[in-house]
Amino acid sequence: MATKTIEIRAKYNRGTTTVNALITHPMESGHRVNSKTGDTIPPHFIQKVTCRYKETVLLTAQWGAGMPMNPYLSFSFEGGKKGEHVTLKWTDNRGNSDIAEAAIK
Amino acid sequence: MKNVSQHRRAILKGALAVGAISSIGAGLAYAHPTGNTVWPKEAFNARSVEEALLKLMGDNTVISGSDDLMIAAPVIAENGIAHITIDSQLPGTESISIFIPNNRSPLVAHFKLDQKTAKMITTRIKIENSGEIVVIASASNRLYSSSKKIRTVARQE
Repeated sequence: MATKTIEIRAKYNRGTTTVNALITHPMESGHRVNSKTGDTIPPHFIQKVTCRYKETVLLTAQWGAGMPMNPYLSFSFEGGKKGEHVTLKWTDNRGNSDIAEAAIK
Repeated sequence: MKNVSQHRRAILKGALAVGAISSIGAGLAYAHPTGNTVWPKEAFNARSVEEALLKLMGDNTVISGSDDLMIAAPVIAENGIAHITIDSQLPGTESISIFIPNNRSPLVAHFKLDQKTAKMITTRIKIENSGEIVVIASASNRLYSSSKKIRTVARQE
């Protein structure tokens, strides 16, 4: 992908690291109808999100059409260290994907 | 008459093309196993919570009204979108699923969590019609559910 689609931040505080992520994606459900032409707008949404820290898969999310445009996700995990990295990857129903890395602050 | 049949042919062709594209799309999605799990299509296409749960977890026996599974959500979802936080205090929580029974596809999201990961998630979800948010957590091979009423002021398409 040419443009950056993932905004990710990770912050360490008292033994836990909090990850905040915002993904830019249309998240088209496939239920909507174009009011001018009457055609159904084809589905285009993120199906899978994985978040890793070192070798650990912290979280795997499977999303459906009920997630809104530009989805947001926040969670935390035990451990982490300033300067280490957390990565987030998404894959959508058309096989597109993007990956981003954030240094823990 | 000719026009009509041509039109119908075009529609049929279109439908076939869409079918082909979507099956290719599905194939590609399955070819990206980042965490060796496939997207549970049948669960997401299910029309009821019970059916979705059966397809997702292979079981729909739920212990309802768990006090250890908390949902923080607004009373009214502005523009059909709600910012929600789910917190599970159930020991051994492995996954958290969010359902909106009044949405066209009740299963909204399913999160699998590592042992290290806190059992608390904050996200945004679409609320198509007023009703309930149902959260189901799997912990120690059992399913627990909790729900909260929510009203929506604008329908989200």
